[in-house]
Amino acid sequence: MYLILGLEMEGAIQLLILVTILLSVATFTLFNITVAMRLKQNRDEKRMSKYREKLLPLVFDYMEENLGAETIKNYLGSSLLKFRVFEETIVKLLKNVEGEDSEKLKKLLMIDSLYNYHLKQLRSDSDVVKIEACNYFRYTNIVRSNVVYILGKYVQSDNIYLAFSVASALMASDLLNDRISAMETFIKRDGISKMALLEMFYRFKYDNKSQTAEEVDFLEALISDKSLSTKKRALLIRCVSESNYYLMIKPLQKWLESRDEFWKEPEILSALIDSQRIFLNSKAIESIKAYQNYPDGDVRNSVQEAVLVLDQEFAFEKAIA
Amino acid sequence: MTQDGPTVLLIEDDPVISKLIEFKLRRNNYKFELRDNGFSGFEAIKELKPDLVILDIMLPSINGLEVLRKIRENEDLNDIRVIMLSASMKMKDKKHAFEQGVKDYIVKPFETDELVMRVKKSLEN
Repeated sequence: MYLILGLEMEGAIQLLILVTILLSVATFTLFNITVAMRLKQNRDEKRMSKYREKLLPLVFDYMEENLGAETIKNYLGSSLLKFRVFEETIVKLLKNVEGEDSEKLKKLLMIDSLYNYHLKQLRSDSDVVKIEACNYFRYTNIVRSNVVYILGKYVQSDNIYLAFSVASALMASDLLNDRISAMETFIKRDGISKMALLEMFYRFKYDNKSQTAEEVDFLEALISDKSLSTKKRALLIRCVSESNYYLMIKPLQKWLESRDEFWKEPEILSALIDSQRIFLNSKAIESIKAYQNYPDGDVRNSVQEAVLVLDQEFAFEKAIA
Repeated sequence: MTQDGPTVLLIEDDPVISKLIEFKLRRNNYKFELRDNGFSGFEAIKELKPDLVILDIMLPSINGLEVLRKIRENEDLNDIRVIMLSASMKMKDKKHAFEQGVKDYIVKPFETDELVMRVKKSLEN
């Protein structure tokens, strides 16, 4: 019995030694990997800082028209680290300049080596890399037909972040059909936040300062689409008003005044009343007042807020008439 | 191009933003000085006595509000005009800065042409 116990203990000790050795090797390997990664990160940070120091004067010389974009292109070469520093720098500068300087900086982002690098990224297997590429196309607003073709395939991706980045990038297309197709596919997905929808609506306009009848026709058809849930329809009504589609005032008022039960869901009714308040449409005040005693509390709250704002607007309009 | 306008000292640790402000101010004929932390910034204020200081709140070593307090406590420096830069939009922070006598308070990100206009306006008053 003692012999059997002794043999079992010996086996257990050997197993313990083996596990200890394995754990030590794993810890040592992990330690070395961590140190190597840290060293690489430090080296990259130093290189990035050096690149930034060299790039900044070049960018400002370019803005002063002392040198052309070609010099910057030559400096960037095909270094991915330089591309990263360059893009970060330009994007940061763009947040703080407008007008002519902003246009000049945007042109720099269109350097062909940078454009081709992001085009290549779009074909990556990694969603993260694709999203990075989409952000570039979204920022630069340069979506050419070859890019539209690739992007179009990803709007239906299971990864909602990729689908959003792709749809948002496609909003830069000159062709309304590209924008409509991306918008339609994206909006019908589940789980989209209001912020994501708002961004999509803002970018859907071809010209930031105006909107076309064709764009508005599409939005009208989209919101009336019977396959949408009540929640989604109400959200779209809110987004269309908050993103200032003023050409939608009439259809929104028409839906508010409609006798069709389709528009009488409390969530939708509340959104329609809020939209009239947002657009300061005092012509809708009587239609809104008709819901003052509506059974739903949210609708009554919307009526109260709208009447408060629109009554003042009505008095103001009367005073200046 | 030589600058013969008023001297503006920028105390800011972000190299991209600093370079952009320098570019815009020099283009508008201001003499420009830069320091990238609160300690060297305050030393430069004592040494250069600039016409205006653009002061970021988040700085290495001494933060912007502390630099501002030191300026206001120093009799030789307390009439120097200061424009505060901050990422904070909180009314409490703005109120605190204005109570310490800043000429203006600009929230990041900002449009640099607007900053130049505010610099001009602050120097006029």
